[in-house]
Amino acid sequence: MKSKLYILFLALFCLAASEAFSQSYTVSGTVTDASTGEALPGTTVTVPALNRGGVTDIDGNYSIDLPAGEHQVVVSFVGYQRYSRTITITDSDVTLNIELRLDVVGLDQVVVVGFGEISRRDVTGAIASVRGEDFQFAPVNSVENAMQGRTAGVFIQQDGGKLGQGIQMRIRGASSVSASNQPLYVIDGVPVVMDDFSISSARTNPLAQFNFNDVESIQVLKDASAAAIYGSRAANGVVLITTRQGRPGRTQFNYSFQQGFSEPTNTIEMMNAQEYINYMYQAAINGDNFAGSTWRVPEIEWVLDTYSLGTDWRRCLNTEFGGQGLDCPVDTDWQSEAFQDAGMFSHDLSASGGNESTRFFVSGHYSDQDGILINDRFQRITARINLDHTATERLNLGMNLSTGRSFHNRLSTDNAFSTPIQLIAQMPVSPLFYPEPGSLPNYVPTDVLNDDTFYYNGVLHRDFTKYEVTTMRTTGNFHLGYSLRPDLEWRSEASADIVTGKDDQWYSPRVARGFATAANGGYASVAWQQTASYTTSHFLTYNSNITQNSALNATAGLSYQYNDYNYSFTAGSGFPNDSFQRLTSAANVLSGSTTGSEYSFLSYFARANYTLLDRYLFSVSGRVDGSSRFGRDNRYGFFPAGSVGWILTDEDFAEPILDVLTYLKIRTSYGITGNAAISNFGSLGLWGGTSYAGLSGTNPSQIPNPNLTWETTKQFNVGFDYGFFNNRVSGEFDYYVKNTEDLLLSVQIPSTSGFNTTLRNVGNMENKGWEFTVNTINIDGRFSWTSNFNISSNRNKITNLDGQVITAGLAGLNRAMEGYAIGVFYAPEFFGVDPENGNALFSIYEDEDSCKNFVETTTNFNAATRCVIGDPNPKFVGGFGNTLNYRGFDLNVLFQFVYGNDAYIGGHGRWSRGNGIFEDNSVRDQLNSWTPQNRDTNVPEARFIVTNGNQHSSRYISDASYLRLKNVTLGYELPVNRVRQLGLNKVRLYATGVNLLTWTNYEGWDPEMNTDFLAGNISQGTDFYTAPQARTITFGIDIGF
Amino acid sequence: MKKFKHIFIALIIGAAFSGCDDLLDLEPQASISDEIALSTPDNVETALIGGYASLGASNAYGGHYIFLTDIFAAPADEIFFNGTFTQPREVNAKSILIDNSYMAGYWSTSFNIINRTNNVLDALDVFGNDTARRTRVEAEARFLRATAYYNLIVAYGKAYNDGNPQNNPGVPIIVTPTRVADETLEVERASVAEVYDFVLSDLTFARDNLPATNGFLANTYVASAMLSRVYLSMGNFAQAGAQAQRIIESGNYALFPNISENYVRVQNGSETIFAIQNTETTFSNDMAVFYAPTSSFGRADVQVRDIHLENYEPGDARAELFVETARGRMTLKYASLDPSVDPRRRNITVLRLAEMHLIRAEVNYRLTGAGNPGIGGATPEDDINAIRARVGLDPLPSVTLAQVLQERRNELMFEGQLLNDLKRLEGFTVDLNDEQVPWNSNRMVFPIPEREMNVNSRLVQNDGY
Repeated sequence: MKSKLYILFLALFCLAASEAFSQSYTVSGTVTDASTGEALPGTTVTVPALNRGGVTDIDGNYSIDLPAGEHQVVVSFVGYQRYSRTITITDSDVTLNIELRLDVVGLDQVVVVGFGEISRRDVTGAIASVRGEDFQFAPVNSVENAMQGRTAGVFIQQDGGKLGQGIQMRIRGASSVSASNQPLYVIDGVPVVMDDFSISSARTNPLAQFNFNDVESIQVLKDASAAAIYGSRAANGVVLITTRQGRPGRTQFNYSFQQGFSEPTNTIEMMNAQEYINYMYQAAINGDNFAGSTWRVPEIEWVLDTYSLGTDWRRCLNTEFGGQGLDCPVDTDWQSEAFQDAGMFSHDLSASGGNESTRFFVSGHYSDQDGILINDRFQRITARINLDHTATERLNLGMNLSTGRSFHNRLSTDNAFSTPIQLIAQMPVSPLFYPEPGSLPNYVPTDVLNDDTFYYNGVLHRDFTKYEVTTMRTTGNFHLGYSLRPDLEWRSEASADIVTGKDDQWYSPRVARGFATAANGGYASVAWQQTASYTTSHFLTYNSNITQNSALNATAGLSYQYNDYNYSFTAGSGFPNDSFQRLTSAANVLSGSTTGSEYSFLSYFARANYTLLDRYLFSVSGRVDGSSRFGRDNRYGFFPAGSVGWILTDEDFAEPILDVLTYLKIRTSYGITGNAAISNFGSLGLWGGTSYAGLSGTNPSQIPNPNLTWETTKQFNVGFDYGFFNNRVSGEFDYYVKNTEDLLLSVQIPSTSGFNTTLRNVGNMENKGWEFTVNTINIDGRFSWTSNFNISSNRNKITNLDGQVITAGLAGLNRAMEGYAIGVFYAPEFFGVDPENGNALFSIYEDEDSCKNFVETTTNFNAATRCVIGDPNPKFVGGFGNTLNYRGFDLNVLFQFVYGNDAYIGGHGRWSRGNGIFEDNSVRDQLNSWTPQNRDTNVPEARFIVTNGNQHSSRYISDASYLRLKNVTLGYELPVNRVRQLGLNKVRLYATGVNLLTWTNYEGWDPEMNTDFLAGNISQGTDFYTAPQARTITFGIDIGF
Repeated sequence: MKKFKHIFIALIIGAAFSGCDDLLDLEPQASISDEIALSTPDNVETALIGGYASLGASNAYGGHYIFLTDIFAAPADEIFFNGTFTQPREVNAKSILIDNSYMAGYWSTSFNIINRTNNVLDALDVFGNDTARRTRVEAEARFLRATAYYNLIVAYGKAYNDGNPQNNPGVPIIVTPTRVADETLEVERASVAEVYDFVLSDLTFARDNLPATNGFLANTYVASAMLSRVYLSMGNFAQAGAQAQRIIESGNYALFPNISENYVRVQNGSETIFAIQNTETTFSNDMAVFYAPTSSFGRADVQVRDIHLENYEPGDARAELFVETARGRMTLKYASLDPSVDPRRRNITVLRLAEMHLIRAEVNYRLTGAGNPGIGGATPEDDINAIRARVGLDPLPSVTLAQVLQERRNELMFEGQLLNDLKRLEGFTVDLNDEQVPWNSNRMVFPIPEREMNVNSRLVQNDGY
């Protein structure tokens, strides 16, 4: 590889081109903002044909020496439209003052790409961009939340309403079954650690420490042409995050404060005590009648006696059952006990500025947010310094350093009795507190929480446990650029990203029913984990106009990344009392272990962009990736991509229609990317350590596969960028086909082998789809209104799995199987209720899997045909944003939608819509169950301890499509002259609402969910007591000085 | 220091200037390769311990071999699973779905034990001339393998006495370790008789070659006791009695004075023949998880209904091994009334002397009749009354077969014998709808797990699924 690289270096040097000038004149002037008239320091003014240019100073002044003749002057600056003007120099200096217009729609923005940047005009791949200012100070938990609905082709879904929990991001669908489907995140050139340190089965969000208020821009690299430079880690797309940089000029300070509150987006209507008692009593009678037994009625009476703790539940039993039909002494609304009054606030302070030689941006952030569920809390404190220094004309250097700490009060996983939402299963006849003994059979509560509920009383967890997760991340990136010649720059980067997490848990003996290990004097554990990732990159960039009509931009280099992970865990029990919560006071050490792992990547990459006549665009790129994760014989992969683009509107023939069709670029790309996100030693035959009664043992843990390698994704993309009416209406359209081969598959094998799975490269998956965006300037002027709309559609299909079916999720309901999208729900179809007898009916079909050709119904669940009954993948996702400005007022309204996905309500669906088989409280809609008088219903007859339709079937599938008013911000900026009197630059007051309204037919709390203890590639769309999202309203102030 | 080199190169020098390829050679820190794992005698013995660890897993004797077969065979109106987990609910209702994950767990963990022991048996050559050690390791491995197979055939095959065991499908017999994942892993089911023959061959070898004492690991009497149980399942009473006799006459074991000493133990005692050893730090005990009341670290999922108590005579100490809780009556065999004792971290008795007395009593009754001395010179009454005396019951002057079997049921309740006894004694049980389910019903055989049917084209499903 090395020799190839040298050839490349030589090739780049040989492209040298320079000319000498005989007589030169000065072109000079000031660059200002067209709307405010303010000077724009740091703006690049170039004459591309001659490779000449300059940067404006603090006052926005520039000057360039040029020979006589015609010259095209081009000015570009982040956030402004590109300026291009041809000037003629005859025999004197020329003054050219330049006004730049804000680039509302972004056609001429500079787009950050891997190892470089490029004007959006020259982009031939599919790249979605989001500006940091669009979501700055959004009162949400992480950067992914903030991006929701803003980018076409990107589906973002949070696991649930608990803070800091996992978020799934799918760029153009899932491309893997067993390996990760999350994109590669690169922050300021550093591929950041995305390890999930959660030691419970619920994943957490590794980016939660990141302060997204520092973001300047985010680019999502979607197609192979854009992403191939990240090679074997690019198949899921790449998210490039660029943080703010300082600009020369007066130091600008900005302080922002906001405060607000959150509440659940939805609650579920459960039965009250009276409804519950009579429903269950009837269910017991029905159950006895059905089974020919007599024990169910006494059983339910015993159950109600037991859990009402001596309060008189019979008082509210209907008279037909021998009661009095009065109000119940105890009627606990358990659901409301799961939620808390959730407040939040945040402080942000930043400063930026500098001079021509040194620029800086510093920021600090502190926020404290309560979750909507009891005991859920997330605090974050971060600091950043971005420094950039021009040492000489040739040498520049700088560093970005950020450090952050998050403190997170976590909750139990969704499947634990102690998770707050599971409280809805409690009987409403159970009091929250023990009753005063003297008050019985009436209920006068004591202040002692009732621990004799049917299920463990999760409210105890709030008072008698601690689950604190502290995570610290420090990311540092040092970079050095050296200009070898005006058109050739060497750049070296070295970075470290170090994430350290502490998981600190303590359980009082009081919670022994919910956490059995705590019974013996309490339980505590602590886990420390650290991942340190070190990356270095060195690359040469050549940027020149080869001739007057063509330009070449080329980059070549290499990078090496080493990642080191360490873990230690200790647990103990037996604490003197609840005040002792540290392991040093534990009487027994229950377990202790340490482990670690590491991986490395060695990569060579190159890219060339060639522009002919400013309108014919060509790009090729490629990367050679080697990884320690792959077998020695299959260690390097090559990932090439190519693309072409044509700006039709720059052709002469387009001239007459430019007033209507101002801009049209068509582009297409094809390339190969990989997915290497599998376990670090997946190719080796391994034995692990175990123990038996204090004797150490070993056991085979993995079957070797020396041929194991990355997944390969071949992607074709075609699209166009358009602008109508002087770009008042603009946007993009893309169509793509992504074929993934050699899926890294955890292949199920006969477990008679002693193993359940082995890792192999088999299988194919296809993602096809389109994306469409339109940005409009609806009204311009004093009152302005701009809109942007995006919609995208992705169809995922597994085309080959070597004939196997992989099950996952709740009771194995989610499947990966050939011919279907990943994660489809597979179970019998619920047909309805037999109007004659209230039996649940299931369908029998002639064709398995597809459930076609209906034969008959059956009450025998085992005999019913199992088939695909739902798809958790959405058909369409998108967003619709509006920005309105009038005088000092600004209003931002963002809608977000997800359409065509199904969810399985496995928790309160099955247990609280279970026809009284269980003692759980039921959803009120179950009062519509079959009775001899109510035959026209799809709720089977309630029968206590008799299975009647509560099996896993399509009965619990629910349409999870939704349209959401995701974000509304109303701001008012005080008039500048008033503000200046106060010695300030800017004062803005604002109010923001997140998730204000949701339109959906979903029958659970909130359709945006995926139960945390199961969430994965295949396990999708399952609701298992999954907390709703938060509706958050905040008020804030933003002060510049 | 190697780590430092990687960091140094990553940060400072850059990969261009170093030998590149070895940067990608990293070794796992928590695992070792096949070659190392079985390379020395000590390493092979360590791998053997891995076999015991798997036998103690919650899908094997750490739980389901005992718990699942018991709630399956027990009448649901007597022993009622009232927990939230649907898998044991289906088992207790005797209406098991083929995708019940406990079916797959029981199956795969059993074969996991078998693969671990096959690895040991394949590597015996490393012992070279040390034949004594080689033979002992081989015998322990074959004991573990046979035990896994016996528990498989009881659950997934028809009873030995049900039709023709030569024709009824058993489970696949695997005798080589898995080294590569290919189509040779698809093995068809051997017959019930073949599996029993295989179990007998392994256990006989184990009995003949294990030492008399071996700590808490398998010794020759452990193999005899397991062999006795297997012969009983096959209706071979003479051999079942002979194996039980071998243990009783050894004098190495003695009944505890108090029945309750058998339960929630930290160490083996005089009555213990073989037990899964749990420790404070490493444990699997699904009996404690499901049977124990919430006051004793359990889920309190299995209610013992009043009808069960009718089995015990007045004064029977075994009728006291229950506790009344808000969730119903619970057995104390895997629970403690002392809240500082975590029964999940206590041993699980697999074989104990009382069972041997009960086997000898049943065998002698069947072979020589009530009142007559049989194997070991003991009458059925001698053995039965020894068991009765310990729990405070008067001796019976003369026993009937029904009394022998009732004594067996009362003594070994919740100890994993119900399914085997239901089938070999050709009785019936009761499902959730209060309907009788006969011993040879298709419902009383576990289904071959759906996932196995999906990945192994050579398997046939059990009747009725």
